[in-house]
Amino acid sequence: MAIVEIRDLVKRYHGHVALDNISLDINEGEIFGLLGPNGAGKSTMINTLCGLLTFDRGSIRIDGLDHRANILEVKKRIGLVPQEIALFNNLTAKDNVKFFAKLAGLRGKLLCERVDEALEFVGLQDKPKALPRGFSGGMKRRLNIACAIAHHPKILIMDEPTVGIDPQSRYHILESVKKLNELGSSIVYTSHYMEEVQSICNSIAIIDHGKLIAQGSTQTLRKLVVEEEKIVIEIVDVNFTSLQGIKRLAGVKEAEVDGGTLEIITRNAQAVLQDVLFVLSQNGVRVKGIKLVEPDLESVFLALTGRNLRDKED
Amino acid sequence: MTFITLVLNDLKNRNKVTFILLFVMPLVMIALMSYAMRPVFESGKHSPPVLLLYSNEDKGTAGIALDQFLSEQKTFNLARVNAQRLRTELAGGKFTVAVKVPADFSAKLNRGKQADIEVIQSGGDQQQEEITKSLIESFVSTYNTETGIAHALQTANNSAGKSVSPPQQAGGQNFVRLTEIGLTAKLSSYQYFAASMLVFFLLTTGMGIGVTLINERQEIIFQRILAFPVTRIQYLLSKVASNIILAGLQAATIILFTHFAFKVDWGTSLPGLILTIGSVVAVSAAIGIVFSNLVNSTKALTTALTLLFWFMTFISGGFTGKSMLARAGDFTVNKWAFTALANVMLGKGTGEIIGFLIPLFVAALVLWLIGIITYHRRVAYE
Repeated sequence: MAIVEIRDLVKRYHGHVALDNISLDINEGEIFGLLGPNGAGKSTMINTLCGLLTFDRGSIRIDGLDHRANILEVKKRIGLVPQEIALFNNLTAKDNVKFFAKLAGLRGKLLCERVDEALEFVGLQDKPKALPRGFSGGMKRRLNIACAIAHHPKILIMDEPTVGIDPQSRYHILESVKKLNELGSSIVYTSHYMEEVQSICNSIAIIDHGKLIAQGSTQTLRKLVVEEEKIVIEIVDVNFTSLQGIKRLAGVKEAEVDGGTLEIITRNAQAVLQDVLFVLSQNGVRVKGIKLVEPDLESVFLALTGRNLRDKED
Repeated sequence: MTFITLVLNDLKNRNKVTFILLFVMPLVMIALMSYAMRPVFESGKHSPPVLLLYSNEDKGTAGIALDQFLSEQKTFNLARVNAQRLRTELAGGKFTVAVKVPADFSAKLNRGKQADIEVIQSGGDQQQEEITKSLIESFVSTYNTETGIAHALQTANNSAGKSVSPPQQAGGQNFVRLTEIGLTAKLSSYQYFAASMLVFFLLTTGMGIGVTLINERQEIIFQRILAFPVTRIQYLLSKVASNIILAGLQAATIILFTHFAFKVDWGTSLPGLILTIGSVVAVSAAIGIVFSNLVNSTKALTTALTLLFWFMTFISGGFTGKSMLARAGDFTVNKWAFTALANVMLGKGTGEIIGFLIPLFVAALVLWLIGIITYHRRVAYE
């Protein structure tokens, strides 16, 4: 079931179309990756979902509520983790979380419980009275997340939450995202780190120049751009007969040897692999290792948008 | 409830040193300025009268006018002597300053020639000499002006066959008023600077609002807050409300401290005080909002507003006890707010000061309108 339904969304800035007829669904319980080059419209999309920007045309329904008609109710269901660390430096970690939880409507005992729970969730339970200015970059990022989750939002929007932090904090944050998802939050996740998106997102949308270019699972997106796969086999003493035998196999588009590596281009790697191994063993070629190279999300992205993901900051 | 949460958080999120300075600075400035400027305010009020050696041998209209003028001054204790004794008495050391009017003073003036009044200084008491000089200058200036006007009228009326009053009759009553410096003359230096500094520091309320708005916009806290169920106007008004609370506390501190420490009489009209303070804060808040929408950094905002507030306070006489540019001072918040406060201090009620507050109400209304419009445009842009 879709928790976010976007239909024909149009947003213009001074004549420039930032979002151009975008329609997409985000299903309940999924981690949804939003990708796009700089200036593609990701931030506009996020800000529109959060109610920070109005839109010119189309409709958004969040958890069944019309975005325009019930904006305050919609906001209660959303948690935003901004890309920048947006914290009060003169307030303690606990007071920061408490303030934002209060804005979401929590009061009394529930407020105290949820604040402690959020701090524990991001691993800052032993620093409730510390001021953020004394925190490392990673700790600030985690507190930034805690401020957005104390009210248990149905949809958590995370705008590049792992920018500029150490691997340990990054791992902690990615684990937290998965855990939050397991606990029932639907997550909209944007990142410049393609491997993060690839590893945690169930569904991905790519936008460019305000338009939705593609949407689906990582697998679906790969299929969109590359039909061919590459088998890389490390070998010892390859001979001409075995190479010709491989080239004659059905499904093999190309095969060549480069030093101790045999590279085979095919449309169906799984089916071809067995035949290749058979030819090699018949010709007495020893195999040291086999690798199936699939196109990664980075190359999918490049193929679809013609741009790299990390050109410059938004 | 959300609004209260926003207000309380804004109060809580204050730098402690800045918070303390907010209350200490006005008191220090009032104490320093009042002490430094006390002689200017209290000359002629509590200081002993100037012992003035006075010789006037002119029996003409100008001589009589000067006689009348000097004898009406409470500042002087006149010792009339003839011209011969004047120098010897002055050399005796009892007197430090003397005024000598020659016998042909009026005659020369009537012939349209230049005539001199001699102010002879022994150098024994600079303050007494300055007071004497300034009052004689005031007489001369007024006499010259009125003579000029009389001559002009004479020329104009000669053709119409009308007569004109002689200068001493026309201006005699005005001389005393010339030495008055309005409300200032009736206030003590502590009253004056308590009121002017109260206005000055209330104006800085706008700076506090502007700085918070820009800071939170730059640090994305503003956007983050608006991602929660908070409206733009709730957010803006919460910033204004928290700063109004601080301004109220600051005003109460200034009023109570100066009352108990410096015996400053703030009058009896509490509504008058509240209304004046409220109108200054309203104008100041609007200025802060407008500027925060026009500039992008807190540095630019504080520089612009500091210059504006210091300039307004300076030209309205807030730092010096005397308006530097009287006409320009009329266009300052300080002038109207100070006049209202001074009148409250002198025992006037709300009804009597409302006239001084009307320019502030109008300014507040216009600036708030501009502030709200520019705020919405800025938020949409952000």
